[in-house]
Amino acid sequence: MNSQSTSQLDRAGGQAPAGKNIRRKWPILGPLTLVSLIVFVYFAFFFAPEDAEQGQTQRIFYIHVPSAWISFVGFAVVFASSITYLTKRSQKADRLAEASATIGLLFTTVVLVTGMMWGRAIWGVYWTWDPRLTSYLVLWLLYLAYIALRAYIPDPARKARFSAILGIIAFLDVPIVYLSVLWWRTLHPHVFGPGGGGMPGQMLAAMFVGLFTFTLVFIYLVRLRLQVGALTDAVEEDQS
Amino acid sequence: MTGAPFLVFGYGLATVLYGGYFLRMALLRRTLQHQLRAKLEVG
Amino acid sequence: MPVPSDLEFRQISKSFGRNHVLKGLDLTIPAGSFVALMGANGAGKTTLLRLAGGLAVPTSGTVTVAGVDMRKAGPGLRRMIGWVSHESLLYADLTGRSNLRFHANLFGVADPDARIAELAEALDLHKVLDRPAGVLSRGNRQRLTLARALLHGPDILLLDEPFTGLDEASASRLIEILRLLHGEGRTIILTVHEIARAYEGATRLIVIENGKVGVDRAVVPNTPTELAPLQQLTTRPALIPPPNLWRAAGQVAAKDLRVEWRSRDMVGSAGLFSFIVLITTSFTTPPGGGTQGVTTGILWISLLFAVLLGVGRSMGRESADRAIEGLMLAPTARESVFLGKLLAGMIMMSVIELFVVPMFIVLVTTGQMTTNALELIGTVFLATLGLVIVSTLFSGVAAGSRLGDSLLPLLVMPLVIPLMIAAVETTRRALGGATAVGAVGVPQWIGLLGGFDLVVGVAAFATFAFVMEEQ
Repeated sequence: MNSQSTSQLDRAGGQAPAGKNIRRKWPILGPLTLVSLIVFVYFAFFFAPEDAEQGQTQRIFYIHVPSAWISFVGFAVVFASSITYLTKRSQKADRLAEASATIGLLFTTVVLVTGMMWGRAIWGVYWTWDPRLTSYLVLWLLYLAYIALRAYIPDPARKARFSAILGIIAFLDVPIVYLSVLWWRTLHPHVFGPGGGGMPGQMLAAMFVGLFTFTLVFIYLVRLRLQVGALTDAVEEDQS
Repeated sequence: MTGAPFLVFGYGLATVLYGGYFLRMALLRRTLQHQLRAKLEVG
Repeated sequence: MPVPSDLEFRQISKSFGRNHVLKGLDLTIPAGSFVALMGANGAGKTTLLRLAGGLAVPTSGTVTVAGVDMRKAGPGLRRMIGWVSHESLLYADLTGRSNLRFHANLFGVADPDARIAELAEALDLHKVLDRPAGVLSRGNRQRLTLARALLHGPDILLLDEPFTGLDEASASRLIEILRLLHGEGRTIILTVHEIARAYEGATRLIVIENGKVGVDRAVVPNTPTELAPLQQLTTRPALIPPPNLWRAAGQVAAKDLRVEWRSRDMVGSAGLFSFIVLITTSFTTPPGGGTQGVTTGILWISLLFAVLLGVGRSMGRESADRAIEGLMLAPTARESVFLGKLLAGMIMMSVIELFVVPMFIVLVTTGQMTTNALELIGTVFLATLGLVIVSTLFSGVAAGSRLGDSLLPLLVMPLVIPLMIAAVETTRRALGGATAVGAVGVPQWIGLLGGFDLVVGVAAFATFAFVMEEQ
């Protein structure tokens, strides 16, 4: 991290490890995310009022819903990176796809878990097969399939190529999945629908704080994953 | 205060998942940086 | 005179994961050269040859033939190349003749049978042509492989350790042939292990070391032994433009069906599997038909696995003897392979379904049936199409991976969930099942099926070339 060793490397004709470059690019991200998380806790647990019908449990929404939205964004990033990789053969695009998919899977898991807790508290059941839940579970499975595919192909070029293909097709599939399941059944409450009469301003505020915070968390974790990936490559690189 | 345990579980598990992943990756990053430095200094 | 076709490698690097085989290699091979490539095991001679043949893609750098980048190779360019390795690229279940005809058609040979007759004469293949390629001895198979490579009269012949496992007589024969072809002006590049082989016709010896050209010098070949008259070989066959996308797809499909006919592999195992699932279900379904929703689910689960099994096998057969490389070498659009396999897969599934669906109706859905045949057939067709599209695409992906067959279900199943839902619902109604109150109508479901097929079909078509880029 000190400039001395970096210039040493430069003189030796080597390159400063990529991980350091990325971190130096947005050094503010880490602290900003942390601050944001603290602010989020305040908003979610104190600023937002208790829900009349659901009680304190409703507060799960503030992490559940933003994480869900971001999980979709993550999937879109995988899609876009996959296309970029196939058209431009950009290694960076492949790494971004991998990082996005890994963190996306993480977020999706959190959504499912928090959703189950909320479901148990309010409906009395951990799970139902209604459209949103079912299609969301499929999203989780698709993320998993992507990660599994990458895990089972050792050669990086083929791994990148084939997971790009899956990344594209899976993303295109998601709306169709949702539609099919929606036609199949209907149960999940609409967050901003007539059922709850919409959310009062303070709750909305908490929701948006959550969205901002967890977007930062996503970006931060993706950056972290990219750094680890770059460092791993650098460490394991043959020096012949 | 209905369902408070579920609230705690929910946020708790989320913290474990997000936080745990963060910790693992951050530690890994630190280890790799040391390894890389060592490797570059030797070579 | 052959078309001037210099082969050029510019700053070629090729890595397999962390294994950097070639590192910034530069090499020019002018048209009409006879080059022997040597190097230690793993040095990169095979890799270099595969790059020249368009069977692999460099990690960086360009390979050009006659000034055109191999990656952008049009049909004309791929047709300049003939490839021989110790894998035959033949389909074990088909006869020699059938194999040769298939490749001749793909490569646009005007009169395949005449050309095959010429080559049979020149290479002494008469005993070999009408037996399945899988049962042939090594020497016979090698001659058949050589015939396959020479069918279209290539300007550049690439041979990867062609002498391995050949007896002395066959090896001498091969050397004669190569010298003759070289005398005619073709470019010949072969990789060899034993230094003696390098002096039997080559005029240039190149050794690959440390990922680059280490040694590059002219050599004087040994005095040739008495050449038997092999004039037939030097004839360039008349060529027609290679088949277009649809024609080539048809040829691939026909080949798949021919192989299936010989081996009865896919229809047998997949069909049997479906049948067993249904029988088992009918034993476990309570009398009176049980819940119709559940039972049509069973039908579609069994059909899904039939597709996975069958299509997985179909791709698996391309891995044997690296037959897929024969398809990669062909001067046709690579998407034709996808279309061809799709077509063959649909035909085979239709055969299975002709049996399984009526079985299902008879055994499992007891009671009254107001079967809407048109709806039923339409739904089954559309749903099967979607399953086959997705399975065909991903079987190409799964084939080379560590999990192989087991990975395919994991990839396919999440993707085809909308298909399964639509199929289950529409078949249930087509078989007279009651509709739910206020539910979505059958036309919408069929629209969803059609939409799914369209979206994945286009995406699969667009990405299949990447699957076939390198195996």
